[in-house]
Amino acid sequence: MKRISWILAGLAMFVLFVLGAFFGHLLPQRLQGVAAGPPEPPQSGKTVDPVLLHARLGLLFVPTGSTVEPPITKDQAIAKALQVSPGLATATSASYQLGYLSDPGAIIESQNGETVDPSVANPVLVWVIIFDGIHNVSSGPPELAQHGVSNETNVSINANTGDYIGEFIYR
Amino acid sequence: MNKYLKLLAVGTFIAGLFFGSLSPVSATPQFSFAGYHANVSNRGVRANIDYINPNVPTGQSLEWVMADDGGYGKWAQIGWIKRYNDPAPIYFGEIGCGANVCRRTAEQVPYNTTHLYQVNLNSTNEYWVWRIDGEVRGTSPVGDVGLTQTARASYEGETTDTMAQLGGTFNSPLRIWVTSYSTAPGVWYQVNPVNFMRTTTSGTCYRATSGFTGGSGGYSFVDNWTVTPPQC
Repeated sequence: MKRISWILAGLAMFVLFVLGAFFGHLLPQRLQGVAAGPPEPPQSGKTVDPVLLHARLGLLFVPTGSTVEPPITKDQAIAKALQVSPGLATATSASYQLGYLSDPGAIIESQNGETVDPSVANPVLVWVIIFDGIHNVSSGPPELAQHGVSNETNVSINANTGDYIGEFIYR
Repeated sequence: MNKYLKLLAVGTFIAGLFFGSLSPVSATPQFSFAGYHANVSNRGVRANIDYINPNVPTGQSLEWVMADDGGYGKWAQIGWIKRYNDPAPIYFGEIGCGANVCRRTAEQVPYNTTHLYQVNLNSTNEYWVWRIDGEVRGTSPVGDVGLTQTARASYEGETTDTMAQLGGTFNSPLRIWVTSYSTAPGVWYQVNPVNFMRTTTSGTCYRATSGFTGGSGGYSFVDNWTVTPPQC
């Protein structure tokens, strides 16, 4: 009789553990669901590193002063970024910066008469949203012993039109 | 009920709650490639890549063309990428930058469209230029890429998830075609299929099969990656 009691108690503990694991699994989803609209990651104070960005990808980023107020707000820019890339909602934190983004090489190609995408043919006032905690792995050739990794994704949104321009990853 | 038993029950439930809330740890991705490369000195590569929207449960799948130094870590590539949480493939361009990722992406590839993906040195040898259908989508200074002439032209599919689809089906194959390389500004040649070497990485379930159809001199190149391979 005592043995059966122990077995029943063990079973009860197992059921309680499984129930706990089930609710624990649901918990983060429920917390996310509480927020209205796409969940925004908490803010960090991270900024773009213009020197490294130019050294790695050739892009120029010139931050504007805080007095500039573009038609598109940073909240609208963040919402647009999350709308295009819902996976960015898993970022551990996010920050934003307003500035002019340009691709000097593309501007030269445009001046040389090449057909150039308008979003890179001239400097564009953009919101750069820096999403931290987004795991990226490099592509590259099959022989690569160690693939590059990055835990940050930057999204640029046209601050005048709200258009999604694209992502850049450089550190 | 015994006081200690109650405590044990509560503790067990909390332990389960904690266990369940843990995020699954992602395994080290396996990089699987399938495609072809040619050891030809070049200053640019390009090819048409057909549309596909593969199922990507984890990691990422890509199709691309690449000019690189033969596998030593310097490259310039362009194509599409679909990460597990992307609704559809998006355009991407990437260069090698050591321990980090140096990548730019743009909008989604429009449904069911074929595009000419091209990356090449500009005429003054100052920039590598990414183009889609001839339109400049971005550049990267030669100093950043670390390459001028490159030793190899590659046309491949890649995935970090062997459960993911890499390419099309047998009846509807993914095609990378009119595979070409540049030797001088504005001068392009299609790769002679005799010079193609198949890329099949160890451990991959994917196998590229090729056919060479049409085109001038029969140099147009058709490729096909198998889908849902998991059992190699």
